[in-house]
Amino acid sequence: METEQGEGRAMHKHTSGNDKWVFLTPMVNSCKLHLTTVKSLVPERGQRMTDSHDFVKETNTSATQTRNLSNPEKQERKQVSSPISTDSPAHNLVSLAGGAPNGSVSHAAQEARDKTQRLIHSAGATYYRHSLNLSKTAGGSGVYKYNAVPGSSLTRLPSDSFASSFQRIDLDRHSLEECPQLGTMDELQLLNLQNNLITRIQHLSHLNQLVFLNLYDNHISEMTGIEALSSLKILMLGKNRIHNICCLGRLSKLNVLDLHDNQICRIENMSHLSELRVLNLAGNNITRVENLQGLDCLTELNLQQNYISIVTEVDRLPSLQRLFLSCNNITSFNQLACLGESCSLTELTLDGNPVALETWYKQAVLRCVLHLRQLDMKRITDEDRRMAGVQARKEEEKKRESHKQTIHKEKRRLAIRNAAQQWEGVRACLELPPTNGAKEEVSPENSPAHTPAQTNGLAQEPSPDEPRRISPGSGPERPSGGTENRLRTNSRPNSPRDPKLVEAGSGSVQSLSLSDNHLAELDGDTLRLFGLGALEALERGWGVQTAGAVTVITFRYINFDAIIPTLPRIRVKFPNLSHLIFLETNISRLPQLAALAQVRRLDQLTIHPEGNPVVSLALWRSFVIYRLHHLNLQRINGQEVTMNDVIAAERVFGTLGHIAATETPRCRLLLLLEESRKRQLQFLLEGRGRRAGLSPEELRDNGKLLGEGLSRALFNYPSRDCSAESPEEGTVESSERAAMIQQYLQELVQRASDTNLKGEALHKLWPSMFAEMVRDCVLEMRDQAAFRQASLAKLSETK
Amino acid sequence: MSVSTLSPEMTTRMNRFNSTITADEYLADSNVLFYLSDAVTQLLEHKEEYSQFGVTRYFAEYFSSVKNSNHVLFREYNYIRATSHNRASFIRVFWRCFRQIGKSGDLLSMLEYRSLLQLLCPDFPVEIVQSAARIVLMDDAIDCLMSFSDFLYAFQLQFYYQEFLDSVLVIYQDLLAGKSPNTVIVPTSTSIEQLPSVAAEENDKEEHQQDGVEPSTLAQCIDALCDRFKHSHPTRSCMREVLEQTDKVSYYSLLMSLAKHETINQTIGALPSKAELLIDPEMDQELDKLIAQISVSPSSNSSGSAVGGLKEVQKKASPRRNIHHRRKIEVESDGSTEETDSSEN
Repeated sequence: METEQGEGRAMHKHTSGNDKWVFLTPMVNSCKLHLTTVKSLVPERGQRMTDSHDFVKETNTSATQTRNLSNPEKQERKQVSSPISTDSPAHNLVSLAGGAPNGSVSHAAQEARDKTQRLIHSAGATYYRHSLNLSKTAGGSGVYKYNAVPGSSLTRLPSDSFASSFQRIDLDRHSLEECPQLGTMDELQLLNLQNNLITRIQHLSHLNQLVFLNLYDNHISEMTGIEALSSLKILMLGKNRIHNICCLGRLSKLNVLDLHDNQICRIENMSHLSELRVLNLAGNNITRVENLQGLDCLTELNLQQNYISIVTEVDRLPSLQRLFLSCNNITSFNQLACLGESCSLTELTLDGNPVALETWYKQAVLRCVLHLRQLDMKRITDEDRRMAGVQARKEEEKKRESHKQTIHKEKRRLAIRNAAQQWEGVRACLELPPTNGAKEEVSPENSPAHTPAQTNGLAQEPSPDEPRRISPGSGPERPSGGTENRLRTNSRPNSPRDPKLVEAGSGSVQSLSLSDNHLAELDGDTLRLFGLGALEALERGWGVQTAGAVTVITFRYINFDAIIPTLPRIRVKFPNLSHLIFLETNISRLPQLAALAQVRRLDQLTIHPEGNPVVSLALWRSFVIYRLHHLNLQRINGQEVTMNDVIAAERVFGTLGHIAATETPRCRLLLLLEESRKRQLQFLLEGRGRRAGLSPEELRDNGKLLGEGLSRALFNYPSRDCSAESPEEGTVESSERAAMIQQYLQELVQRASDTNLKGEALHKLWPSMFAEMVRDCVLEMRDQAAFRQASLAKLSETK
Repeated sequence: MSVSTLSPEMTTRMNRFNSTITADEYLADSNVLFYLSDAVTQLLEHKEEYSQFGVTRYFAEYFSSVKNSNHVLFREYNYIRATSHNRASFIRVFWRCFRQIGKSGDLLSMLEYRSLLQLLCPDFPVEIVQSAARIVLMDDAIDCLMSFSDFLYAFQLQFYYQEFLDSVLVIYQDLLAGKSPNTVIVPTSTSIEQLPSVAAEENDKEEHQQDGVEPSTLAQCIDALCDRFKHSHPTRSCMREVLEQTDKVSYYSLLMSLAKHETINQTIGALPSKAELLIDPEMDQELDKLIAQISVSPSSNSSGSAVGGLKEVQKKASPRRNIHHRRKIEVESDGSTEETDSSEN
């Protein structure tokens, strides 16, 4: 059944191919005859295929068979098995001449027989076999034989060339050292000289009828001597010592050219062979596939076992169907790019090339050569194609993904670098302003947040000759980077609250916000922010779970003053935050640290000395412990906070806090404290003292009641929000206000001084006035009786 | 607005009942107007808070705080340096707050002192601190460490007599350069003008470090300066005394001597004498109390064993800790219910 199927296919194929080849194979015009040929071939081939596996083996087989020719039994059997071919040499010739169709038949048969592996597709091989057949028909005599067979069947053929008688000479294995003189045989069509010792091609120039010339396995080193054979269709020169392809100028009818196993280094001088269908150059020293243009009919090209590393011009072969490139030196698919351009190619072998070892080899080939039906002897199924498609897509995706990743990595690196550069610039700016004046020091204009225009901090580098007096302690310029490792060792929290979360997150770094000069990324429980712009990541909507997973936040290349306004947001958004890390954030003064009191909870605080001058102050740790006492810090810069530390801090700063809490005017406290505490204080003030003037003792008591929390709360660092409210407007308003106040006070003073003057004047006049009043009274009362009467009268009058 | 709010120095100089001066002169001299104006400005700026607080009460508290010298706490630098009284008050507050640092004997750097000053006055400029540090360190590098008392007295001199010292510096430089100091224009009190002079001084320092000037000449010039100087200055006798001690004097050695001069310290009246600098038993007592509180209730949110009143205050005072505390309790209670569940099963 299998054979039938294969046969059917072969027939179908052949008939379809027959139309194409008909002009090339004038002898195969009869359909009937042709069919019989095919029929005879198929079983025979099947038999042969079973013991022949590759090209070399095939030649060997043919050689052994040739050697076994003397064995009559075997030959007998052969003849029985293929009666037609033996009986009718015409058929042989037909099959010979129509080598290409036969080839396709053989391949069709192979397609049907998936079991057969690594068959030889070379037409040459087929021809060896036919030549073998020829020798068989010639019989075992092995003598120089002249055999002219006027084929009766051939007379039926319309072709003129075969109407006349043809002749053949078979001189296989005669140890000939020279070409025989064939002077009179002008009509010779077939000449077989294989397996001899011929070194030069001679005495053939007059055989202008010669169609088939077989010089397989000789010692020929040059192709000269064949120039005149203009009728030649098949030329077999395999297994010789030829170095150059030449002398083919007039052989324009050549159908089959076999030059396998020679020493040819270059494909050349062939572009005029427009009828050439099969070219076998296997086993040579060719390094490039080139000069193929013009071979318009070439359907099969065998280049196995060369040193080919570059394949070109294959796309210029419009009829090429089979290309064999096994065992070459093709390393990358780029070298095969032109295969993709060929739309006729259906079979391809590439095994034995370095490129075939690649994992994506098959898929890549299939993707590139769309019409391929067979690759390395294996039929391409739809499944293969589909897989290739899927794989290709997958690969593409993977590639894109990895590309994206590398791009992202690069972007990340760049962002961090730019942030660092910008930071350097900003810092350089920050170090300069003290030269401008005392007040500038704290003014917000100098903070980097107010100079967003400087995107590439380089432009902001100060000129080197600028006097820089105010630099000691504020940190020398250090190359940025390199602290990452140190950071990493510290960044792990002591006790991750949910180990599962940490595990899940540690592998994947999720980038939240990325631009060319900032980066915000989430690595498990660690949120890293590089550059000022990264703070925007805190603004965006966070999932409850994601935000809850964050326990560590790292700031780098961000000015601390710019971070402060975000602290209340951090407090709300990240309830589980337990560790803050500041790298190069320009924390330079103790009051800045007070701003950290705004976070909800903090177990660890890390402030790297790099870019944070505050760490060089001896008191910073004490101050942090004192000020952030309510957070109950466990570790500062990786060092555990002990009870002794707390007490020492209290000893240093306790007085300050106490004085601040107890002696600051109450009204002033109202301004200094944050909202919640302010309300407490107000409550306390309302409840306690409705009366205006509180005695100092009472004030002191109040202070005590407010407690130590208050004393600490007083040291807060103003976030920029409140200090930088529109300076122009503020100054205008304040100057107006100042003028108003001045006027008001002047009036007040005027009145007061007037009153004072009057008082002084009164003071001066008073003694005399008093004396006058006394005198008047005395005078009035001098006459007591009269005074009494007058007084009585006054009384009675009034009543 | 009683006279008693003003520093004793002023009250002795002018008397209300001394009718030879006008009211305006008196007011200008006594800075009453300055405080009034500031009080009103503050009131207007923070209308809401203060009207709730009570305007009368506000004024009363404001002026009593001026009298008690604690009005400078947490105020802006321009206010602190505005009057002599404010300066002296600030120096005193600084001493009281950070006396413990002197007591512990720690040596601190200029930047550290600056940070401490900024705790009390957030916008305290670094220049004053630098100048003070230079008085202490003389020729040493500016980032050397200083003891608390050295720095404090130098700071007092620099801060209190800021304008006068600037003028002296100009005179000194002119003397060094061989110019006639009589042509010297006395700089106004703006602190910005101080900068170039400091810068110039730095350059000069390299050249004329060793040679000072003739003390007698300098004394004459300073004497002349005092005649026309509007701002406060150290008493002439003290300066003369200092200048008579050596035969060559440089600017910073003069300042160093002035800073250590006991009479000047007494005149300013902000700090005790050097011998008593670290003694403040009242504060020590308070501090001991505070430390006791801390050690009684270590980390204060874990145990409730603190004194009842104190604990209550703490709760009130720190709502944040309260939240934290509550959360912990919740966690604990969760755990306990689980335990009971498992025991039942």
